[in-house]
Amino acid sequence: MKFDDIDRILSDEVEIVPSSGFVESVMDAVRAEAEMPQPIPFPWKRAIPGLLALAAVVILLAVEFTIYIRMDRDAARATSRTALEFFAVIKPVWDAGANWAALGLSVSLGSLAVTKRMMSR
Amino acid sequence: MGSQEDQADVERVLAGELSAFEGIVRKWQRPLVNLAYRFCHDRSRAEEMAQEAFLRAYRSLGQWRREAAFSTWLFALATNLYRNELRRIPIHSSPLENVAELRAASNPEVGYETAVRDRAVRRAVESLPEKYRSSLLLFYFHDMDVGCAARSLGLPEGTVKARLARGREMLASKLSRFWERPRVTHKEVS
Repeated sequence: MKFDDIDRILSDEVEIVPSSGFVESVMDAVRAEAEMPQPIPFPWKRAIPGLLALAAVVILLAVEFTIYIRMDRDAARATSRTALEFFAVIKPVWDAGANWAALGLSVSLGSLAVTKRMMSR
Repeated sequence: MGSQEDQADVERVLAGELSAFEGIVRKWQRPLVNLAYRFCHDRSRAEEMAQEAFLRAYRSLGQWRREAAFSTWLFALATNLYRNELRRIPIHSSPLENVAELRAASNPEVGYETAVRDRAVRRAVESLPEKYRSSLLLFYFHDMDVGCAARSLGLPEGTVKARLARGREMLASKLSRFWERPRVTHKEVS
């Protein structure tokens, strides 16, 4: 009986009629939208290699740090050797400005995420 | 027939014929405004939310996959927008008294007691957690069709059924005291 009442009340909601200018108002907004220049898409294809490299470095550092604080010093030194070799390989790239590129990319991604979040509101 | 018309209109809009979108707006304005109204119970806000839903639909028309009906896609988009909008700016003071009074005024057979009870039910729905409230609103909006409600919410039917059951239980619990009270007669009111 209670549920029947709830069903009846909620099914029998008031129907409102959109105001007479509603369609025009929507179409004005749509026309304004259509006249706006298309946004420049983010160059994901170009950014992906850099992002992957950045992610690899971050993961490696995190793993190294975890191992360092968990394992004893000898074992940590042995594991760190791998990281040192890795850093030796990427050092020339790093010195050539890859760090600034990675930083710039991170800032760009951050601002893109913020902008997207604000646009969705 | 209706869905073919929708598809034809969408194709024309995508081909650059902006005026074809007006046909879509004219056809779906009433359901979208009324769906928004069920969420916010504020006429002007409902129209603003529906306008934003149409604008988003226009922006993302190209993302409509033809295997789903256009109405399903449009309702899902609108529902998502309305839910986000109400999360952003919740209903603080619901002007539901307008609804109850309007109903009573428009139908003399609907008495004061019924109007009060209807208002209590709607207030109870508004006070439910969002996931239960949305499921209930969509279920009743789609004439108690669980499948339609589930598609609009983008959820499996089983999840919506569970939320409906829980939501109705919570409603019954919230309204139990209301129903236990002695009924108000017209003499007592006057």
